[in-house]
Amino acid sequence: MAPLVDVRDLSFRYGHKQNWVLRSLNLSIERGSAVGVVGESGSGKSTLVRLLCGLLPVGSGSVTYDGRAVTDWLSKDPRQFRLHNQMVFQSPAASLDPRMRIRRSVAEPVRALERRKIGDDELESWLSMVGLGPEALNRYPHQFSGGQLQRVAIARALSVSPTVLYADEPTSALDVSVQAQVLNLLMDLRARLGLTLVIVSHDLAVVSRMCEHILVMRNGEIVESGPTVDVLHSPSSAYTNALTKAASAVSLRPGNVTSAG
Amino acid sequence: MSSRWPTQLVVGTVLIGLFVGIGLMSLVWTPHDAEALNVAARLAPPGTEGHLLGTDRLGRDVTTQIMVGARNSLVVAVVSTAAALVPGVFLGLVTAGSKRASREVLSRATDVALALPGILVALVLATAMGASNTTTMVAITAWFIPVMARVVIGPARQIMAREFVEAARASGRGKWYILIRHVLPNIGPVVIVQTSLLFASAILIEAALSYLGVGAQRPTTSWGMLFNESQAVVGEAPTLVLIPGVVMVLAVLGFNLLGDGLRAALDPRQTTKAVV
Amino acid sequence: MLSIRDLTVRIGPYQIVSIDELHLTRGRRLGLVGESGSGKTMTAMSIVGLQPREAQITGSITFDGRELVGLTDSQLAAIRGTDIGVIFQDPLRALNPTMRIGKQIGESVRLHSDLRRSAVNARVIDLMTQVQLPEPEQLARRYPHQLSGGQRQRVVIAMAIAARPKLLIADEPTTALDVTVQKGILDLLAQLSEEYEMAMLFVSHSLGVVRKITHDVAVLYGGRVVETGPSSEIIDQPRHRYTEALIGANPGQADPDAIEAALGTPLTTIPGSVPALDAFPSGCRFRDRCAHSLDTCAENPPVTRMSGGHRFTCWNPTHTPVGGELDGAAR
Repeated sequence: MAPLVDVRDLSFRYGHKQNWVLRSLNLSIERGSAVGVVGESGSGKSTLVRLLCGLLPVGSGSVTYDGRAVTDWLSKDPRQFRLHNQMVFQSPAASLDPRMRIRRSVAEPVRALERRKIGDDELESWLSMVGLGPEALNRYPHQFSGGQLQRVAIARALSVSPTVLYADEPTSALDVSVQAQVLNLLMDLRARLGLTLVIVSHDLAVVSRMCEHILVMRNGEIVESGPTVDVLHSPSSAYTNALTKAASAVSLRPGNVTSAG
Repeated sequence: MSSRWPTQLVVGTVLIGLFVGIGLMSLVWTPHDAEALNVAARLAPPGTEGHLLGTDRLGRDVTTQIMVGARNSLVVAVVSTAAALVPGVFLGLVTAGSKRASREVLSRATDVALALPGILVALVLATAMGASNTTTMVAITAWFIPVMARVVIGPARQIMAREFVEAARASGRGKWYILIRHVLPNIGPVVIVQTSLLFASAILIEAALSYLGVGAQRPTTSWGMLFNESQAVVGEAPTLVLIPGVVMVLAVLGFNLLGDGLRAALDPRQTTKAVV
Repeated sequence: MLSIRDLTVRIGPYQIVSIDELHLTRGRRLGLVGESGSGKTMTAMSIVGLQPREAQITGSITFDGRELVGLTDSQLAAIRGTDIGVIFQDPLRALNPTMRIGKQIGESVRLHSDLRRSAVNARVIDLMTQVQLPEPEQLARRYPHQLSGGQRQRVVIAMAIAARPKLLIADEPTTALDVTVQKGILDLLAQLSEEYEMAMLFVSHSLGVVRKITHDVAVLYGGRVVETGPSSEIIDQPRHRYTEALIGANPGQADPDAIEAALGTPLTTIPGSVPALDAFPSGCRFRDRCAHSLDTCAENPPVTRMSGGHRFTCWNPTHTPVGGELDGAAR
C-alpha cells in the first residue's frame, strides 16, 4: 500500500535570498503510524511539519497526501485537506485567541471546514474526550493552566476527526508533572481514534516513548530515520550517537553515573 | 468593579463629560444669544453681573462663546475621526495581511501620506474649497486615515505572527476572516486608544485652522476663532485668551486620559479574575 | 558557607517561599529543583537581592558568616559579581547587544580590580580560554548576536567568574540550549567549580540535569523544601511522594534496551496541575495531588532526618527509614 504522506526531494527556504531551511528531504509516513521528528533548534523540524500540514507552501520538491500533491489539495480542495490534517502547537497559551471563549475556539475548525454549526453537546463530548468538563466552554484562555489549554487545543484539532494529527513540541512549554498527562492523552487518543501521529520534539525521551518511527534532523537534513528501537539502539550517524549520549547523560535512568559523584 | 477603574479613566471621563455636556447644552440653552453684540458691555472682566467669564471686544458673552465653541469642536472631532476610523483601520489591516510585495507598496504609500504636513494640506484645501467647517473635517479625515493605518500595521503584524493565527489557518479560516475576527479584536485596544488620541488632535487641529482663518467662519463659533479675535486686545483682557486656552487643554487632556484608562480597562485578563 | 534559615519571601498576601533550612558548603554543588511556582528561582534570587521589588524577605541568609537579609541594594550589588556570581537562563538578555564580547568581559574584570588596560585584555583572553571559547582573540571582537547560544552562555559564565566568586548561582543556565550543547556547559560548570573550589547553587526544573551536575539536591514544591540530600540517593531512592511522582512522570529513559518495552506504555501521571499561589492546601502542600495521601496529611508534615544529610517532610514516605538510616544526632 502506498504511504499516506510521501515526501520527495523537498527543499524549502523562507525567501529567495534566505538560506535553505530544508534540503532535499525524502520520507514517508504510513497510515496509523506514530512518527517522531527529533532535532535541535534550527534543524528545520518545525518547518517540515508546517509544510506537511499545508501551513507553508511547498516550493521545491513534492509532498503528497493520500497519493495526491498537497499543492493540488490546497488549490482545489483546501477544506478537505485540512479536515484530514490537523495540528497542535507548542505554546498552548499562544495558540488560542485570548479574546475568544473556548466555545468559539474549539468550534472554529468545524464551522470553517464542515460549514456547519456545532452544538454544545458535541463540543462537550470533545472536551470530555480530552478530560475537560463542560464548564470550560464559557471561559477564556487566561483562566486555564498550560496543561488544560493544551487539552483544549487537542480537542479543537480532533473536532473534525482528522486522519493525521501533527504536534509541534506539544509538551515543551509544560511542567514535568503535566507533560506526562498530555503525552498519555495523545497515546490514548491515537489508540482510540486510529490517528496517524507526527510529533516534533527536541526531547528524545518523549519521542522514544511515543513513536515507533523516528526521523533525526540536523541543519535541514534528515540524518537518520527508521524504527525507533533500531535508530536508538545502533545509531548509524555520528550526530544521532551524540544526541543519544547527551540525552542519556541527563536522563533519570536508574544507575546512571553522575559526574558529581 | 467601579473600585477598579483606573484614576485616569475617571478623570478623563469627567472632563469629557463636562466638554460634551456644555456642548450639548448649548443646543437648548446659553446664557446669552451667541451672536448678540453689545458694544456697550465690551471687554467686561470675568465675574461681571450676567457675564460669568466676561465679554469679548464686541461685547459677546464669553461663557456662551465657549459653550457654542465646544459644540463645534465636538462636531468636527466626531465627524472627522469617525470618518477616518474605518478606512484607516481597514487600510492598516489590509497592509498587515498582504503578501510581502503589496505590503511594501501599501506601507510606503502610507509613509508618504504621513510625511505630508497636514496643516499645509488643510490650507491648500481651504483655498480650493473655501474656508469652512466642512473643509476642516475633510482635511482632518484625510490626515487621520494614514495615521490610523500606520498605528494599526505594527500590532496587526505582530498578531498575524502569533500561533493562534496559524491555528486558525490550520482550522481552515481564510485571510479575511482571520483579519476581522482574530486580528481586529486583538488590536481593539490600540484602535480605541488611538481614536481617543486622534479626538484630542482633532480638537487642536480644528482650533488651529479656525485660528488661521481657514476653518469655521462666523456666525459659527470655534475656540480657535476666539484666540484670533482676542489677540488684538490681549494686553487689556488676557483672560480672553486664557479661558479658551484652559478649556482646550482640559478637553484634550480628557481624551488623552480616557485613552490611557481604556487601554488598561479593556484587557480581558484584567476584567475577569483567573480561576485556575 | 551559605546558610538559609527560616527564610520566607512574600509578595502581597502570598507566601512564595518558606524554607526552614538549607546549607551549602565550600566547593559543593546544590540543585534547587521544582516546577513552575515552586519558588526555586525566587529563593536563589533572594540570596543576592535580585527578587522583585515588592517581595518581602524575613529570616536569615548568611554567606561566609555575614547576614545578607537586610543589606542595602548597594551592599548586595557589591557582593554580586565579587563573592557571588550569577548566570541566567537566557544569555542573550544578559549581554549588551551593542558591545563587543571582549569589552563586556573586560568590564566585569575592571569592576573588581584596578588592572591596567593591557592586563585587563590578557585577563579577558585568559577567562575566555577557561570557559573553552575557541580562538578567543578573534571571538573577543565579535558581537553577541554573532555567537551561538552555547558560546553566549560561555561568555556569561566568563563574566560571572571574572572576580573568582566563592559561590555561583546558576538559574536554569542550560534550559534555552540544545541538548548536545547543554552537556558541554554542564561539564564546564562542574569543572570550574572543582578548579576554584567554587560552590554552586543550580536552579533547574530538570532532575536529570541536576543529578548530572550537583552533589546535593533540594526538591521544592509550593515554596517549601519537601526533600533534600545527596542527589543520586534522592533520585534513585526518593522518600517523599512528590519526588517519587516527579521522577515517575519523566518520560526519560533514552536507554536503548528499555525502549521497546516502554514504547506506547502510559507514563505515571500526577493529577491536576500546580495550583495558583492562593490555592495550596493546608498541611502538606502536595496532598491533594498525591496518590498516597492520608488524613494526617492535612497537618504539617514532620521533618525526618536521615544519615548523610538526607531529610524529607512526608507523612507517608515511600520507605520509612529504619534504625541505622536515621541521623543519630537528630534522634
